[in-house]
Amino acid sequence: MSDLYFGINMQKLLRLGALDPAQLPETSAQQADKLSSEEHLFCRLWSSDMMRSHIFNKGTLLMAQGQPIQEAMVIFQGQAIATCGDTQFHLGPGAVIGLAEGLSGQTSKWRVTSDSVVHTRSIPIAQALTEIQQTHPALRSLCQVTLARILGQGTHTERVS
Amino acid sequence: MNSPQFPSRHYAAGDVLFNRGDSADTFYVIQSGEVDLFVPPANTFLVRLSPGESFGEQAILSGGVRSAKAVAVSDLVCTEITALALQETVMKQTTLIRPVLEALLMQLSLQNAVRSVLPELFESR
Repeated sequence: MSDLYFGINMQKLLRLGALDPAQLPETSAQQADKLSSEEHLFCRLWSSDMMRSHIFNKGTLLMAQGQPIQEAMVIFQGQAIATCGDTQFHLGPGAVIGLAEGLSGQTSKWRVTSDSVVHTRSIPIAQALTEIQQTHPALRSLCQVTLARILGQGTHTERVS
Repeated sequence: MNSPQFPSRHYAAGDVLFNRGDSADTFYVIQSGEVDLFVPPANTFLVRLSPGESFGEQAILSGGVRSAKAVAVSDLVCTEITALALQETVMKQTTLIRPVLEALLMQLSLQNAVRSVLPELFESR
């Protein structure tokens, strides 16, 4: 088992009070130079009430490799193990699982299981596709370029066009 | 894409458009030329971008700092869109599109980090 870990430093965010919704607007500018892009994004996702929460016990299969993806998920608390062939690594808060693959109609590249109690929030792929198709053209372009960057230059992004 | 709000700028081959840690305020769309992106911790080559492609979107949406380095491969012309205009558009969204976009950018960040230390996972793509 690899000891590689990919996730947000929650202790830093808690120490800065960045996860306190009441402080977000006030401290956003002050924290602009203290937080990385990923930490900013995570704080915004943390404060969003548009995704459904789920709690999983340790050992639960969160995403099956090679299966169609109906719901993507974002880890908010706890750790999971991602497996791809012989390679394993840990995913922590901030890890997004299956969103780009689901939006483009691909299957999951990784098998992901919970390695502790894990709190996630889910994004229904069908609803996300509908909203992307109906949103502002600039945001749709941003979705397309980000999808292509995640999945590779040759990725077909017709589903989000 | 050319307009007073979205000016074009010329760069010479080898110019660094931004470094990791720089304050991020601009989204770039390549008109001509090419750009290479490099990611930490080993300054690993990530991707070469061509005309019509864009970059810099991650940092400007979150208002933070750059997580990658961008270098002009050849003489380069980019349309530059400021963070303010894009952020205003994103922040106005009141539906699932906002977390979808933010989560996509998070997934890109995660994937860049994984790719930086486990490039073999992506070789077959």
